[in-house]
Amino acid sequence: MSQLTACAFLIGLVIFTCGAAADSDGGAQLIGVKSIANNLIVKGMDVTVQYDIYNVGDKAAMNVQLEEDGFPIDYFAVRSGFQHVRWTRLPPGANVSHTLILTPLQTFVFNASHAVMRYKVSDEATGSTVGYTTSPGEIAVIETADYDRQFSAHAMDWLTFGMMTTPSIIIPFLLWYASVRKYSNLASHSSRKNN
Amino acid sequence: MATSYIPCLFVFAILAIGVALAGSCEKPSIKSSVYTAADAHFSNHGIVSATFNVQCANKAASSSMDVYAVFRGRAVQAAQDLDSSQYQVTFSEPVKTYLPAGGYAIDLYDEDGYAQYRKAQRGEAGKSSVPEPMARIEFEYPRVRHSLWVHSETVAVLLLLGASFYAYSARKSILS
Repeated sequence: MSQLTACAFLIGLVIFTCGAAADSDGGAQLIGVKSIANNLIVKGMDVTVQYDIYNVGDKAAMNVQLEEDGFPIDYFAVRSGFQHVRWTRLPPGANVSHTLILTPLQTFVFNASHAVMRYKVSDEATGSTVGYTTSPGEIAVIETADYDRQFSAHAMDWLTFGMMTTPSIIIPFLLWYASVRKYSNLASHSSRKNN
Repeated sequence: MATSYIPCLFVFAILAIGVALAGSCEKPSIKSSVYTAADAHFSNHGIVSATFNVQCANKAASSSMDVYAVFRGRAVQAAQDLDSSQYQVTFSEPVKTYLPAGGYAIDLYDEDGYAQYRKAQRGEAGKSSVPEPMARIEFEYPRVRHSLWVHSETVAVLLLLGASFYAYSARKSILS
């Protein structure tokens, strides 16, 4: 009986220790989503790159840093926003958003890769954890002329066309209208005379 | 023996007061710029992105403080640029359900002010009113632009059909 009691006590101690160890392993865990908010990406027009970071862990993430080095300055100019940012603390279950506004300088197919996140999983952690956001993948930057051809109102084009075709339409119309008025006046005048 | 601890306590008290004062920003001045995007044809999100820097009378607070932004009831911590110590805060929503055109403001709080704001939001006793923000960024949000409802080619075709119908009617009346 005493041996049974001792075994039960040891098993209970092991279970308690394992449970305690599992609780102390909990920490912050960040998921980063990087997306392009544009339906169209056109040379010389703004591109919005949006980063959403979620803390799905059970502790606050400390000293969260987001580093974006995937847009070379030869191809993109930064219109607004920063590429290396930091948040002091991201509570569990919370999320933050960040945007970077860029202007493509050339027409090309670009492979947008991930951004890097560095954070501490808890206040007591000594080292940083590195994570990566998702990658939007290939993005095609189209020429401004192609965008205008497809989506602009072409109002000036139609106005120019109308001005060019107006003489060949208006002049015969005016001649015909003057003739109709002249002969309809003559006809009504002669019918009044006969009456 | 007890008197030897007094200088240490005195130094510690001075340091504690210094740390507490460095946490709050005195006489803040803000320089800001706001980027807005509201094109439903070109983008699927409406964006309000404000970048700003904070200068405090107590300079130690400027570089180390956390700034919180509140916009239309939503509070977020501002991101701090690692290269320049400027701050950025972003709010985005699907563009079709986003803001009407008009003037808006983003309220900025330091750590103490944000703590008071949260207490006011929770309705704690004696904290029913929202505290005054450290600074306010005001901006204009534009009207959401949509793609053309009727293309110019459609208008041109309709005008052409109308002119053709008029000419046919006139010819018919002449011949009759």
